[in-house]
Amino acid sequence: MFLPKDTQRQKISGVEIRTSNYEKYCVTDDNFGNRKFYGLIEESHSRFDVAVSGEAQTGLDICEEYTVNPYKYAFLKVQTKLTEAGENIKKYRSELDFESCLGAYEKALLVMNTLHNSFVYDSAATQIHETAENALALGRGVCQDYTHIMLSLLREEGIPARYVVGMMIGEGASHAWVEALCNGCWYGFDPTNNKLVNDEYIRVSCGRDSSDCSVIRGKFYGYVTQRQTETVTVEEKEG
Amino acid sequence: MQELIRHTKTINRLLARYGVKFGIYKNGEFNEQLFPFDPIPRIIENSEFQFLEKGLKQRVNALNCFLSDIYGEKRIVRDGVIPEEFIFSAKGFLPPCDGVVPPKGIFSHISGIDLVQSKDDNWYILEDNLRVPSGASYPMIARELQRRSAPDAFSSNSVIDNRNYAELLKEVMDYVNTGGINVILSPGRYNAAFFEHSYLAEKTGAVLTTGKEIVCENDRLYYIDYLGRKQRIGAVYRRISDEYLDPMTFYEESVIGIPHIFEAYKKGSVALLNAPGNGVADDKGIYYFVPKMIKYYLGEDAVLMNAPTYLPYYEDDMKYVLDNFDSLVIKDVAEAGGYGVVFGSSLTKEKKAEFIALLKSEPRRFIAQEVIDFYDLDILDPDGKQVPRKADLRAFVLAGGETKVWPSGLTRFSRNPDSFIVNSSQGGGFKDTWVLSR
Amino acid sequence: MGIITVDKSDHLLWLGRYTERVYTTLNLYFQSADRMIDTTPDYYGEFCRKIGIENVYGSRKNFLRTYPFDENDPNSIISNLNRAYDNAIVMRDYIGTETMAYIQLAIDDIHSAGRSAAPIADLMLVIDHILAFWGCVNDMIDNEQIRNIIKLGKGIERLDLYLSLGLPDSNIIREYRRMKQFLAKSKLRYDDSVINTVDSMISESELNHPNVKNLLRNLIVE
Repeated sequence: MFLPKDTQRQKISGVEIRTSNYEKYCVTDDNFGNRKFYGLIEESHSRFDVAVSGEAQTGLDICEEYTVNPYKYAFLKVQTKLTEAGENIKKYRSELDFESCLGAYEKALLVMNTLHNSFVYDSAATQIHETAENALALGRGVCQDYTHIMLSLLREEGIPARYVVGMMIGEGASHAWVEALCNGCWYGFDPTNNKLVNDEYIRVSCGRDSSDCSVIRGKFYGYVTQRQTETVTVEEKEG
Repeated sequence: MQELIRHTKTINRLLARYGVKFGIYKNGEFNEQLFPFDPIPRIIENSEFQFLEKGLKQRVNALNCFLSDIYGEKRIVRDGVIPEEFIFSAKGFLPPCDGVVPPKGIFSHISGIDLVQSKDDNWYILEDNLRVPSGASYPMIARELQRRSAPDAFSSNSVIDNRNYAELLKEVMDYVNTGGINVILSPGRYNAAFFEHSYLAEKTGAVLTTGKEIVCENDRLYYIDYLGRKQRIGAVYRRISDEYLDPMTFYEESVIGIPHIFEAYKKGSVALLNAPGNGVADDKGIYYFVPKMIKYYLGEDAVLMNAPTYLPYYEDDMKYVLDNFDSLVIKDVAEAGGYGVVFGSSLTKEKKAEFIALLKSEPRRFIAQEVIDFYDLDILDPDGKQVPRKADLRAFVLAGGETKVWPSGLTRFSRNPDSFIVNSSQGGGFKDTWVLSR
Repeated sequence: MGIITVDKSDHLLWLGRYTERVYTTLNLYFQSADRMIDTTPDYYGEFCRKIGIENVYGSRKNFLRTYPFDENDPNSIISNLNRAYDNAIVMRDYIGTETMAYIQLAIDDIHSAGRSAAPIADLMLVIDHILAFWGCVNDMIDNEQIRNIIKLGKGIERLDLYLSLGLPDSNIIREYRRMKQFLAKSKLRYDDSVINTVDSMISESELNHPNVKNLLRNLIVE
């Protein structure tokens, strides 16, 4: 499970992890820059609860991270199965006026704007592992689809871009948005809300696409059926 | 040599007795077949072996430098020696491995380098296999059995004994071991190379496992016995591919991997042979750059040549490929095992036009090579006649405290007179490879 | 080496059981085939009942052919031999290539006997190679525990078959005592109460074979 981590824009403190039936776990940082904790329960069990709480101070900077070695993130220019550009995305891209943009930041703004205005939010239209290409063909979807489409378009432009999962004030679920590398800085763009990522956002994890970022990942031994529920609460602290 | 030919029946009987087989899937069904063996060995003179040894060590050392650079500073990209597209869009480049330094800094512990000899006696490198190259067990056991069936053939030939492969392998495992036992991790008995997994386990004293008996706890790997007691594992010679190694980091649906093994590896508490992510270095697109790597990292000229190769990605090369299409062999960089190989001359006019269109739309996906005029090796056909066939040589290079070349190798041949494809999955056979001691 | 996991002890145990099953049922098949020559041509029905398999054979001729050689018949000798092979092949590093070769040879034998003009005579080679396999287990496997788990499997299977076949109590008791020795040396977890109950049954009078058979089924604790 991923844990929020300090970036230029946010500072995390007082993180507490509580689990129902497991005390020993390990913490690691993965190479996308995420922090996660993990473990193994050998005994059979019918239920597992985990709660993570903490405090986030946000809006400390306008970008998340500065990058020195440009090749460190070159792999984020490469499309994945979920972001692979097909005919629809290529056509959509050809209709965008990238010529008039000065650099990656403006291109990302253009994509965010255009996509927000042409794509319809609809929580019933797409599947969990929908590709950007299919979602664009449908013309509707959720934050994951907005994000995948935007990633696909930016990567076609040769801009390193990553999928981000996090939380927003007021929402009862996790949210997804895009980060793009512009002039050595990673900036957050939220195409679903047509907003630059600001102090309303708490960032949890990032990766090549949604499959790298699912907040919880697990593996069972033996045959099981499972049900998973997730709740997110974000409250503003006074002062 | 006549001695070996005379005892063909005996050696085949012995190979059957010891079940020297490989598995093959046909129409979704698993079958085991005896691996066809030809009794006439490939003979390599000592001086020639010394030359090969020098070239192979150099190549593997450079490839290991490349891997540690690519998953580290990426100097070779920064310095413009290899374009970044060839690295980061290679299927074998695994972002989760970025920044990970394996125990003792070795990435490719066991490398299988495929070579061919041309009619003019030059050796050419065909491809590098740095992930899970297989095949060493076959010449090992064939030698053991041929020494029983035709002992006289060996008394006069001063052939270097190749049965030390297990010791070389064990040395490497011990060298990178972080404290604990050595295990060989196999996907299971329905894997094509299961014979090899179990044979190497027996001969190296490592424990053969399918992963079900292994857990990762507190970033350490343990083997669990029937009473639930745990024994620490220090080195895993894994014969399963990167994607399946750890469902928590790579392919989530994998049932043959070990959850969190990658974390234990990242934190240096277990060695994985070979390191995950090596696929970026044996990519067919990267192959073209290996001689440049040797120059870049070692400051030396390559001892062993690549087959002359063109990258349609470069405009000049594309032009050459189109002008000489009929004399070239084109390979899809994403395919392996003899698949995705097209001989320009074999295409009909329509197919050719179709293929060229594809080539132009996805130049990065292909490499083109001159067709090498193979030096054929004689094999014994079913009637007992000696007939020439195409053959290659897989040399095994082991990198531990020092880099060593196994004085033997797997010589594979095509049983079909018109075919260049020697892979066992496509019906090829194998020969022993003799390196002479003087 | 020498660490035995749950899966591995299971394979060793079943390797012992299946080789024993092949050996004993093949010997029984020889005796039954002899009876069917002249005295009791349809004896195969009795054979099936005794070893507790379904009689699907229909005729003497079909039984003589199918029971040893048909890989599609789950009760056939060849099917049991294949299972022995399946358990052996995953244990090469424990039992060794030399020992394994005898299972491979037995499989090659049964295939060539199936093609032979004198199948029964050629099936005797299978017996030879199973005996050689056991000899090799004794002689070449250094690890005592591994050896004893295989022998325990063999003992449990033999006891089970003898109980089904209704052999005299003296034979049963002899096999039971041998099996107990291997049980102790195998260091596997087993159910003490099973041994105590069977011990007391033996010290009393006539053995109730089905009861003993049922009890022994739960001997080894997984």
